[in-house]
Amino acid sequence: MSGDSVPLALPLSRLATGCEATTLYRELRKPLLRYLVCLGLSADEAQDVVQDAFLSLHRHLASGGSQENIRSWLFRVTHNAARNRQNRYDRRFSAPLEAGLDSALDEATPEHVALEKEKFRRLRDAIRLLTESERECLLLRAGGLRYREIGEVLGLSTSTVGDTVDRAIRKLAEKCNV
Amino acid sequence: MCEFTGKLAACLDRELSADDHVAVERHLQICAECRGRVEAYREVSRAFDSYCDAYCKTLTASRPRRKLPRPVWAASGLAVAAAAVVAFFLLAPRARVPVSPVETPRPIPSAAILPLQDGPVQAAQAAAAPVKGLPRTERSRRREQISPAAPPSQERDANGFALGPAVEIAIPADAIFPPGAIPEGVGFTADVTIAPDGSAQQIRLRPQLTEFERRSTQP
Repeated sequence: MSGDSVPLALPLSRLATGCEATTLYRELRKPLLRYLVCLGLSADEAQDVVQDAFLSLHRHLASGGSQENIRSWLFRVTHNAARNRQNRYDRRFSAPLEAGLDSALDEATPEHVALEKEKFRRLRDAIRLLTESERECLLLRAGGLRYREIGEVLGLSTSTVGDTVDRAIRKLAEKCNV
Repeated sequence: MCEFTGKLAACLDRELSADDHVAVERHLQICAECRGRVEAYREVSRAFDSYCDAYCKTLTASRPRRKLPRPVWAASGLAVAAAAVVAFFLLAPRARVPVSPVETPRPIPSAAILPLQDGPVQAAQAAAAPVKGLPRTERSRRREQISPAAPPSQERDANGFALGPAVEIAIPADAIFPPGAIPEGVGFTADVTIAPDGSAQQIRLRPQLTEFERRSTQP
């Protein structure tokens, strides 16, 4: 890290990148954390990955990297880091979006939203039927990414993302009967 | 199923080209079935979003903040206590000097206890490990050894935790200093108060006369 030390008198361009990184951090930290946790990472792991991603972003911007598509760039970095962890520890992110929610809903949800609980249960059962790609597309879409950006994160064409999202939404709507 | 069904999700997400979007909007005005589908897609998208929020919130809130098992903390507390004891003996031998002459037992009472020991070797072993070695002799001596560790009335703080010594470690001087450096019968006691989190809250060291002196002062 000693090589990355910031001089006291910052050039204007680097100051601007610093401000942009801060703005992005405020805007995207929560969606990124949510995406990672929903992928199956623990909260601690997700924190680590997001922090590393913003460190990479800082280096990327400071070294004059492209400022276009920064949102999808960040999601791609975190997505790849999550997959690397999965491979490194040789474990599947078993039952993403399932584990522990049932008991939490039973404990924490007030009675007057019992209908909501039932809806969540049906939704969880429907999410089980989604393929990994469909689930990832929906998660990134819920994170506010456009189809083009989702394609950049997952390495898919925009039209493929459109088809995948359409298929996933249709499955959920049919199973949830809403 | 009409030809626009495959474009409804993209229309909802405003991902269609301007021409396609207009065409789908026009279709929706005349097709109630597709209008219902778009509404269902919108609803299920919202539900998915809430579900992700609830899931994330649940997992984040329910995790233990610290994952270190408790024994590690207890062990680290003991390590701190042990380090403090060692540091005391390394750094403060001079502070002990004024204390020991005052309360040094005379050789005469120690001679009275010698017949209880089997021999000099066992006496040295008993001095090196008083807590384990002493119960081999008399029950009354064991009581004397244990009694200071549990005073009958302990001070307590506002939370009800004992302020007095919770753990007493008896350290024989012979175990640390060369033979003859410390008058026979003098040891040190470390009162270690363990905090609720397992760390050493307070360590108090004091010179202590061993069983010889106590026996001579008690009736």
